[in-house]
Amino acid sequence: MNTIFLKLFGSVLFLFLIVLLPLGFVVQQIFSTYNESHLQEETAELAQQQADLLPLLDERRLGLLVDALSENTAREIALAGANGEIETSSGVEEFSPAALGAEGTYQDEASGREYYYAEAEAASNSFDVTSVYVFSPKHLLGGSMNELLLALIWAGTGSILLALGFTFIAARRLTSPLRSMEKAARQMATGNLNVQVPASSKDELGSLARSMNELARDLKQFRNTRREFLSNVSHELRTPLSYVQGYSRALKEGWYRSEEEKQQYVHLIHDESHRMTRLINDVFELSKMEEDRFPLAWELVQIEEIAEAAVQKIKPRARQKGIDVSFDADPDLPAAAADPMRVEQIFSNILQNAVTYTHEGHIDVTLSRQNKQIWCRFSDTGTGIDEEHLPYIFERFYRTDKSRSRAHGGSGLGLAIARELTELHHGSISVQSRTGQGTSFLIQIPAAEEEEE
Amino acid sequence: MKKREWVPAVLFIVLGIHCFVMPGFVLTGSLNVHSYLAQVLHVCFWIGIPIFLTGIIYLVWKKRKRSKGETS
Ligand SMILES: Nc1ncnc2c1ncn2[C@@H]1O[C@H](COP(=O)(O)OP(=O)(O)O)[C@@H](O)[C@H]1O
Ligand SMILES: [Mg+2]
Repeated sequence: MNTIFLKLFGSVLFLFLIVLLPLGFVVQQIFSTYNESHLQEETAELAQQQADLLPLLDERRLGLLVDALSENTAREIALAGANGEIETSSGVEEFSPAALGAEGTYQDEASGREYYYAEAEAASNSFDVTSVYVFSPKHLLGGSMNELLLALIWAGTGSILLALGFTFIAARRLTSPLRSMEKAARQMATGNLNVQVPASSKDELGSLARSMNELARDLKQFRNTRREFLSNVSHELRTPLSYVQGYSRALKEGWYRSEEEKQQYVHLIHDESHRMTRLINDVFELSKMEEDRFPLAWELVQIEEIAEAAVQKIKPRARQKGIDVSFDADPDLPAAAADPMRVEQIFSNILQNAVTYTHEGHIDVTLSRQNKQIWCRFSDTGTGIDEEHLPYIFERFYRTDKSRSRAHGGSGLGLAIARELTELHHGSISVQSRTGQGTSFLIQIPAAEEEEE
Repeated sequence: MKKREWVPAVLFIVLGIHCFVMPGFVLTGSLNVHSYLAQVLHVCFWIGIPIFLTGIIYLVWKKRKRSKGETS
C-alpha cells in the first residue's frame, strides 16, 4: 500500500462523513417533524370522529366508546363536561383541560407516558359532554423513528462503501502510473538508465513521464560520450607516452650507436611531448567550448582580413609541398561580429588539413556574400574523403586513416574544434568531397546587422 | 490493474449495494429473495446512471479529439 493511495482513500472517507452525518441529521429531523404533525392531525381527526359519534349513543354505549378506543388502540380518551370537569376517561385521570388548553402535549403522572392530545367540540348530547379529548402516546412515533434511523444508517453505510469501492478503482488507476514512475526513477537513481517510464496518458503525468525519459536519455548519452571521451583521450596519450618511454629508456641504457642517433632520439622525445601538450590543450579547449562557457572576445571584424592572414601563414608550408594557395574575396563584404583569434583558428585548422591531405594541385579560398551571411569556401584538390567517413569527420578524434594522420601530427580534434567555434559564432560548417578529387569545406558566418555597430 | 486489486473494490461495492438494499426491509419488514433481487436491481440502476453518462461523455470527447487530430 502506498501513501498517496491511502491519502486519497482517507480523504474520500472524510468527505463522505462530513457530508453524510449532517445530511442524516437533517433528514431525520425532517421526518420527525413531519411525523409529529401527522400524528397531531390524526389525533385531532380522531377526536372529531368521537365527538360526532356522541349524540348517537345511549348511556350504556358511552362506556363502550371509551373502552373501544383505549383497549383496541394505544390511544386514550377523555370526555369533559360544560364546567370543564372530566366526566369519563381512560388512563389519563389527572388531565385537566383548564390548565393545559385545547391542544398540546400531556404527561401522565401515574404511568409517566407522554401524549399528544387534541380536543373536539361535541354536538348536544344526552351526557352533557361538551368536549372530547383524544390522546396519542408519543411512543407511537418513537418506534417508526427508530426504524427510520436504522434505514438511514444502512443507506449511509452503503453510500460510504460504494464511494470507497469506486475510489479504490480510481485511486489505483491514478496512482499506478505514479508508482511505476517512482520505481523507474529509483532505478535511474541507482544508475540503470535503460529503464523506460511508461507514458501512455496525455495529461500532466504523461508529460512528466516523457520528460523523465528524455532526461534519462540525455543522461545516458552524456555518460556514454564522457566514457568515450575519456577512453579516447587516454588512448591518444598512450601512443606518444610509449614513444617517450621507449626512447628515453634507450637513452638511459645507452642503446644507441652514434651521437647522431642519440640526437635523433632526443628529437623524437621532444616531438612526442610537444604533440601531447598540443593534444591536451586541444582537449581542454574543446571541452570548454562544449560546456558553452567559452569566452569569446567579440569584435566587429572583416572576415576576409582574417582569412587572408591565415592563408599567408599557411603559404610557406604549402610552397614546401609545391601546392598553390589562391585567395579571392568579394570586394564589399560586410563586417561580422566575431572573435578574430578564434575565426583564424577555424580557418587555419581547415587550411592545415587542406595542405596536409593534398599532395599536388592547389587550394582555393573564396569569400562571398550570400544574403546575410558570409560564405567562406576552402577547396583543395587532395585525396578527398570517402563517403562512409564524411558524416563523422567533425567528431572528436575521428580520423579516416589513423596512422597517416598521426604521421602528420594530427590528433583528430582539428575539425571538431572548428565546428564548435563556428557554432559559437552562430555559423555553420559543412563539407563536400569526392575521393581522389578533392574536398571543399564551406563555413557560413552571419554578417553583422547594419545598425549593430 | 491486476486481478488481485479488483477484489477489495468489488467487495466494497457489493457490500455497499447490500447496505442500500437493507432500508427497504427495515421499513417494510418483509424479506424474501425476490424482493431482495428487485431492490438490488433498483440500486444498480441508480448506480448505473452516472457511469453510463460518464461513458457517453468520454466517448464523445474522444471522438471529437480524434477528428480534430485528423484535420490538424
Ligand atoms: N582537406 C581534407 N582532405 C581530405 N581529408 C580531410 C581533409 N580535412 C580533413 N580530412 C579528414 O578528416 C579527418 C579529421 O580531420 P581533423 O579533425 O583535422 O583531424 P586531423 O587533421 O588531426 O587528422 C582527418 O583525419 C582526415 O581524414
Ligand atoms: Mg587537422
